[in-house]
Amino acid sequence: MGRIATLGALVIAALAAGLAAVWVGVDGWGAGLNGELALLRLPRVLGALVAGAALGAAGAAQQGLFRNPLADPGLTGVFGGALLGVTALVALGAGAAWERPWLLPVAAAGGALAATLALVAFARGRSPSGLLLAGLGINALAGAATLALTAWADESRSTLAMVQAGSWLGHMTLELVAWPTLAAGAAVLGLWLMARRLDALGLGETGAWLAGVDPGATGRRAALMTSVAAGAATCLCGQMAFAGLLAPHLARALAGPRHAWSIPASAAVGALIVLAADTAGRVGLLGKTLPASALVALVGAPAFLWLARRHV
Amino acid sequence: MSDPLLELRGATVAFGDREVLRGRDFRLEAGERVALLGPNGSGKTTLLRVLSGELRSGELRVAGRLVGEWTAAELAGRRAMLEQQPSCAWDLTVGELVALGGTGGREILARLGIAHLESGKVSGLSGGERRVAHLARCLAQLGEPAGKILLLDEPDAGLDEARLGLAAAAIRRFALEGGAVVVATHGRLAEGATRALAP
Repeated sequence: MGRIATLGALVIAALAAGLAAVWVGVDGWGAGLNGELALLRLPRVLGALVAGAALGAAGAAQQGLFRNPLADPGLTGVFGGALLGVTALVALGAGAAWERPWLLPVAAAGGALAATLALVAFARGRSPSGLLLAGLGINALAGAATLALTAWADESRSTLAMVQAGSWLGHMTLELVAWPTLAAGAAVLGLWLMARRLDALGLGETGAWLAGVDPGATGRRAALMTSVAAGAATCLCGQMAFAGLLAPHLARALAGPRHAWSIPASAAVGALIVLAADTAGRVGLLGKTLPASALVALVGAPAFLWLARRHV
Repeated sequence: MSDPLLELRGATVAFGDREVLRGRDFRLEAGERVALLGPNGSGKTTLLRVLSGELRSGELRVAGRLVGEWTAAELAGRRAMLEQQPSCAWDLTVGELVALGGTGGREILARLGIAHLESGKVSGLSGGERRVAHLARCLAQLGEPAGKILLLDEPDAGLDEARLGLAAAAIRRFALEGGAVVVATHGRLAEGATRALAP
């Protein structure tokens, strides 16, 4: 009962915050009560909520899959892969991405999946630091490939720069939001349906198998779902580290460690984090407008260091 | 004659140049309680791992069917194994841990004498209590004992007299109700076994 109330409160809080954010502008509330402006802000707010939910759920699943409290799609190279996928599409396919908006999340999920598979191959069963080291390598490789592609694809450089800098949310349209939202929704639901299997993975690979859960098949399915979620998030907010790391920790503190609860709670907390960061950055809370990813990292990076001190 | 619950033929396992099992055969019938005795390193854990289907060697049949023809989920409905160092990475309560196995946890915990720990965290338990909690998870995984196989790797380590008595009673009852138990032990749980052997 307590958990249902907690989860309900988190979801309501995220939706209410979204409704409120639509009305807030650079000049605060006063002149912001403007229906036309609100409608313009709607895709951005929706994008932040969906990206945050996808990141939160993907982070919770990754921490479960790797039995590692430091896993985060932004740190393990999965985002790097997603960004590479988007870059490859924009650089090689030129206009195709804008004519068929569903291509973006597909390309991002494809890149994320490649990175996730590399991660599974190199880091499954390793210590928290081993996972992060593998992520470091994958991120570096994906980053270098992204840079090379960007340099090569002259025309689309400005678009790519926006995606890479994480200021992409400011350019959302309802059309751009729609496909990633569908993908993120499917991925979060898919991850939630795996909750019992992720719970069993806590017994270790052998323990899970003895309890009737095939760790290999579970890992592959979770990798696919987290890749789709991370790909969708990349299409909405560009690169963003730490949201997927922080959300599960807060969610578990509120809703407990079982994935049936921690995945949806983490999605709600992630939505709140990214929306809060994007809104604060948009209205210039720190004096200047800032991309959401910078604000999330300002809070997330110190928290990461604190967690690393405890777990590595 | 019906198939035995478990039948192993010709299992050979070596770690490096040390051969732990050589051409091992084993047969387990319903109602049996088999005690595996022997010093550390004599192969008790290895034999249990082979019998569980985790370590593949020789030909293992579960209820007449080759182990490779079972899915992990099907097999888990038939046999449970308590590992020597059972652990769970999540900070679960005892009740949640047992529910990972299946339903009926409360009654099982009561039988094992740790019902009062149900809502406490597993991380707060002693080593012995933790083992009992995982034993409860294994029992919940199997449900009705008839035709089921329970493999236990030194469940008695770190258990005090009272808990040992309750664990022994639960194991006895499991076999009386038509299940079969193989337990690796250094002593106490061997008492009352229908068969005792070295791996």
